[in-house]
Formats: sequence, C-alpha cells, structure tokens
Amino acid sequence: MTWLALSSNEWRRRPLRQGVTTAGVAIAVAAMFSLLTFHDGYRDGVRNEIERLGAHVLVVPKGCPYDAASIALHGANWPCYLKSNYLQEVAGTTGVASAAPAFMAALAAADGAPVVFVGIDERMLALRPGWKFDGAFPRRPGEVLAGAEAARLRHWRVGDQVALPELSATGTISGILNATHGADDSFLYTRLQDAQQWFQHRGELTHILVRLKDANLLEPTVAALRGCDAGMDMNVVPLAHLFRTIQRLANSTRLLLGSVAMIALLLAATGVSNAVLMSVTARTREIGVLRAVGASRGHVFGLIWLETMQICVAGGIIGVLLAFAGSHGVESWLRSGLPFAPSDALIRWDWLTAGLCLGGAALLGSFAALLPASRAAGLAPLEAMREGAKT
Amino acid sequence: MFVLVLRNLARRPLRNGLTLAGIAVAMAVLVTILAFGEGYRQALRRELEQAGVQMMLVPLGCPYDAAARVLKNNTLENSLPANALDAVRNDPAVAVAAPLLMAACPRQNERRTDMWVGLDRSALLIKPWWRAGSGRAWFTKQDDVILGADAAALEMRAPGDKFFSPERHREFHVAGILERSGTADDSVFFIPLETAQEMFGPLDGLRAGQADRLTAIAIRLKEPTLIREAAARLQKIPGAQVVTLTEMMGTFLNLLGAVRTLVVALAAVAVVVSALSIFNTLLGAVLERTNELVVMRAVGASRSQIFGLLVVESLLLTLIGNIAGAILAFALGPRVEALAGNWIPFAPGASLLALSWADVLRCGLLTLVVGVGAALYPAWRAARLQPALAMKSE
Repeated sequence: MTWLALSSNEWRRRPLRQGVTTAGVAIAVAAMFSLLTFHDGYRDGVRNEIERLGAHVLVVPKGCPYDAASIALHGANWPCYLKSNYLQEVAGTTGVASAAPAFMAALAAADGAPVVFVGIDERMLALRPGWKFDGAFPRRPGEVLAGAEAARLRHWRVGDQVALPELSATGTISGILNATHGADDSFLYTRLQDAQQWFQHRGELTHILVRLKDANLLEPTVAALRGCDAGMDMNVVPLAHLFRTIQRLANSTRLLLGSVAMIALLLAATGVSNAVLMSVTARTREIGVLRAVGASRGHVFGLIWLETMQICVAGGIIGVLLAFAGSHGVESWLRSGLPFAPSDALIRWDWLTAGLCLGGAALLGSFAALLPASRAAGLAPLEAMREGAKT
Repeated sequence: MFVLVLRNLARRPLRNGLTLAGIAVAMAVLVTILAFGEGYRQALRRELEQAGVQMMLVPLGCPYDAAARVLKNNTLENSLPANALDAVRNDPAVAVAAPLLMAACPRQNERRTDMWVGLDRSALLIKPWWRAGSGRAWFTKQDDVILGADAAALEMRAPGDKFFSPERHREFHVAGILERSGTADDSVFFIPLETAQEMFGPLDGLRAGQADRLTAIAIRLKEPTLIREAAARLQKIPGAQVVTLTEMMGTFLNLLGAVRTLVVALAAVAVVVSALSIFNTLLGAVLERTNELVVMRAVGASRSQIFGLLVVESLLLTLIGNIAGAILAFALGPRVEALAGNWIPFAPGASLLALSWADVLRCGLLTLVVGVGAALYPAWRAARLQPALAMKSE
C-alpha cells in the first residue's frame, strides 16, 4: 500500500469529521478568493467604465465632483446645470481636441428602472470611436438613437414611430446602438435641442465631455480650463484623478478586509490542526504498530503531513469553486452596498488568484500539520501500542 | 454535572485550548468591528455637531483631491477668491462666517503630518468648546501659537515655551493649550489668520495678490431651515462651492457602510469556521468517550441528561472563548485602531473604537447560539448510544 493510499484512509473512516474540517477550509478560502478577485474586478471595472466614456476631462456643474461623475457614468437627474455658452470657451481652450455637450435627464418609469435621456450632437461621435449602430444618428427633431438594451426591452426597431416612455412626446427610432456592455446600452440618445426642450432647460447643459489632443498634457490643460472665463462657474474633473482617488479609497480598505480574511483562514487552520490531532490520538495504537514494523519517525511525520495537506488542498479547490459558483449572488449583494459600482462583472475567474489561494491553503496546511505530525512522530512504538490498548 | 463537564474539558487541554482560541479570536474580531463602525459614526457626528456650522464654502475642485495633494507635500493650489468672505458675510441668512486657512505640514522624519490652522476671532463662535486648559485662550502676538491637547502632548510643550517649526523656519511662542474637545482639532496647531497667510502664502509659490487667501469659510446660519436658499445663493460665488455638512456626512457614512458590510460578512465567515471547529471537537469527544457515555447510560443517566451534558460542554467552551475574546478585544482594540488609523480615510480625531457592553453581549449571545447549534448533532449522537453496548465493547 502506498503512503498516499494509507493517508487517505481517514476519509473512509471518519467522513463526517474530515468533511466538516474541509468545509471550514473551503469557506475561508472562498472568502479570500472572492475578496481578491473582487478587488481586481472593481479596479478594472471602474477603469473600463471611465475609458468607455471616451473623455479625459469631465466638465460638470458645481457641487461634489464625485456625485457628478457617478451621474455622468450611470445616468440620473442632475441637481445643477451648466450654461450652454460655456461650451465655446471649453472647446476654445488650448489642448482640447474636442468637447461634446450633453444634457442628461432621468425619469422614473412605472417598473422602477429609470429611463435616461441624453441629448447629444455629432461631436459625441468623436469621443466614442467604438460606437457602431444600425440606422442613423439623430439629426431631425424627435429622432432617437436607442441603446441596445433599451431597444430590446421595448421591442423597438429602426424606423419605428414610438411613444417615448414617461414623456408626452413621440419620436422616431433613427438608430439602435450595438451593445457596448456599459451604461450606454440603456440610454436613449436624442438631439441636444430636443432634450433641452422636453425637460425645459433651454440653453443649459448637464456636462461637457472633453477629449485632449495629448493625454500627457492633462495638467496644463486642466489648469487652462480652470482659468478660462467660465472656469469659476464650473467644476473641471480630470478623470485620471477621479480613478486614482477611487482606487486609493479601495486600497485603504484592502488591508482591513485582507486581515479579517486572513483571520478566518487562520481559524480554519486551527480547526484542521485540531481535527488531525484528534485522529492522531485515536490512532495512537495504529501508529505504534506502524513504528514497530519498521516505519521511521520521518515516515509517520510524512503520513500525517500528507493527511493534513489532503484536507487543505481539497478545501482550497472546493473553496475556489464555491466562490466562483456563488459569485453571482455575492456580486449582486455587493453592488447594492457599494458606491461607484461599475456595471462590469466584479468577480471573475482568474487563474493567478485561484493558484494563489490554493498555494495559500497548502502553505497553511503545512503549518497546521506541524503540531499533530510531530506529536505522532514523537510517539515511542511500544508505549504507543500499550497506551492504545488501554483506551 | 458542572464538575463533570469541567473535568471532560480539562482532559484534552491542547484540543480544547485550540478550539477555545478559535472562538476567542472570532469573538474578538466581531466585537472590534462592531465597535469600530459605531465609534466612527459617533466620532463623525460629534465632530460635525460640535463644529456648530451647517455648511462650508470651499474652492472649486474636488475636496478629496485637495486633501490628497496636501498629504503629498504639494501645494494647496486651490484657494478661495479674496472677495468670497465679504460675499458670504453680506448674505442675509448667514449668522457667522469664520475664515479658515488650513495647511498640512508633512514631517518626513517623524512620519506624521502636522495640521496648521489660521483663524480669527469669529472662529470662537463656531468652536464653543474653545477653552484654555492652561495659558491664555487667545493670541496676543502675531507669533503666538495655541496647541490642541494632543498636539501639546506630542510636542511636549507648555505655555510660555518656545516652539520652532523647522519646515517653516519660524519660531513661535506657545500662548496656551486647549482643553480636550474629542475632535480632530485636538491635534492642530492654531495660529492667527494673518500669520498663517504670511507663512503659507509665499512658500507655496502663490502669485502676488493672493496673500489674503483662505482654504475654507465655515458658515453658521441664523436659521438652520434657511439652508437650501442660502446654499443656492452662495453657490453663485465664482470659484467657490458650498458643501453642506449633511451631504458630507452622508458621503462618509455611505463609504463606511459599504466597507463595514464587507468586513462584517468576513467576520461572519470567521464565526462559521470556528463553529465548525466546535462541532468537530465535540464529535471527537463523543466518539472517544463512547464507552464512558454508554456506562453512564447503563447506570441510569437518561438520554436527555447525556444530551444536556454535551450541550453544557459546548456552552462552557464558547463562554470561556467569549470571555477570552472580549478581553482580547479590549486589550488589543486600541492597538489595532492605531494601526488601522493610518489606512482609514477621513479618520476623525477622537477614538474610533466604541467598545460597549451591549456589543459584547450581542456578540456573546450570537456565538453562544452558534456554539449550541454546533453541539446539537454530537449531543444527539451521544444520546442515541445504547446502554447495552457497554457489555459488548468492554
């Protein structure tokens, strides 16, 4: 019988104990895996979302720039407005390649999901080179370019005459955007003038998206934008700074969360140690016999070590799979509580992280094995047989 | 029965010790986290309420970004336009407008950042707690400095001492030390507004004509209900924006809430893991003591007595674990806080940990329930043993 087969005997003998111990490891590893992938997923999600916006700088009304950026990314009603004539100044600033005006407004629909209208003009196309759509860009009054998801939900097709949801106006679907997998999918794009008229904010904008000629000249351009005549009445938000700040906030929580997850892992290791210790105690006699028939101390140590590793590695694999299987539920729960939750998947499969978690579990197993294995190896053969016979 | 339980636990000191340690750590984590969140919220609220202001007028741009820039030893490029203070004071709804110049002075050698705040007399109206613990409560000379309680303790200065700021090459005279207020102001160096403008203006490369700059104006309204109209009017001041404190607090609490949910979930994982450990330990104990339990049954112990024995064992284990955990939390809490304080954004000055007996009780109750829950199956197994087995196995 090989050592591996011998060491896996315990699974048959005490399935419940082994199972419970493994479950403990699995839960702790699952928590760790979710946490690690979530952190990466969050960072990439926020970055993708900002990149999808296609702008380097966001010009928004006064107020908290974070709220403003969040509204621009996800779509909602704005508390304040910019004057349309700021646009000329922004576009005329040195370093600005293109400045696209937008007027965004959201209406609460009967089914709870808000309907977001965004008034834009052709300048927006310069910022979204990735946009592909069937049909045409809205150029005539009442024309609407619908996001893929919005169109699918309402069964709209290009050329349809439709009653615009939550508005007492009708429109023509001039085009339907191909899926972008971002917030764009659920927006309804109209002509700037139409949106301003429908929501009675003529001559006002909610935000201006600015693309620079050279992304490396961010600082001087932002300074120039802040210094222009309208600069005192608007907030200039460089998106790179925004990303950095969100990232810094996320990182500051990382240590805290990581250490709590580490504690859970340590507790699981204690449980493993305990369970193996119990099985060693129960098998005192057996180990004595093993020693008596010629197994060295090293053999016994290796046997117990192997047993512990089996529990930890099995727990690690189950934990990673568990985390992946449950990621959907965890994600929707996280999304409900997180500020700035990007619309991309937050928890994704990542071989590196999975490997890291497995390696961590194995390492932990090695430590957990030390105590019971050395105790088993320390047993003197004859005494062990005698003591085993007593109980 | 109690003695019996104790003796059983003492029989396997290592095993039960490990289990105990697991429970204790899980309990300590849970208590600390609950206390931490609660303490953060209380400190934040106290800070905002003590300030006695309803809104702040700050320069355009991101308030967080400005804070970050300061930390990196960069200049505060944003400042309020000179006429903002007059505009605020002329607003009909404003009762007090206190100009503030805040500057952070990083001290690489000592790995900390000193906060310097320049203020004038009107600041006393928005800081009702302002009282000198020793020395004078207000500046008499331009190079006077008044220290917050923590700042004084850190610098080991008393009123009358000289105080040299190597970064700014300036010598100050400690005029007074404030009583502890429990806010971030405890660690601040207060100096007269004009001195601050003179000291932080030119060194930070400000253009001429900006010497009378401010970083914020704290505003108290005549009537708190006027907040909406006042905010709308003040928002029109060019180059400045209004942040109401309710907004600010909401943002912080949102962030905190998100982090807290995550941490509590992880702590719950820790509790579950230690529950599994209890389960295993008890199950092992039952299997090991099969003979003993069977004999007990044979000499007349009822099923429910055996069941009770095991449940009490688990209860005792969790109880001792709880007590150890609570002690651990109280002993290590402040140390953990000092560690975590460096990583938590916008940490208020006061202690963040609000360890309360209510929290300890709540966590204790939870872990006890979990402990009993984990004991159910092993206890049931033990109670099911047939007394007749005693004859066979001996």
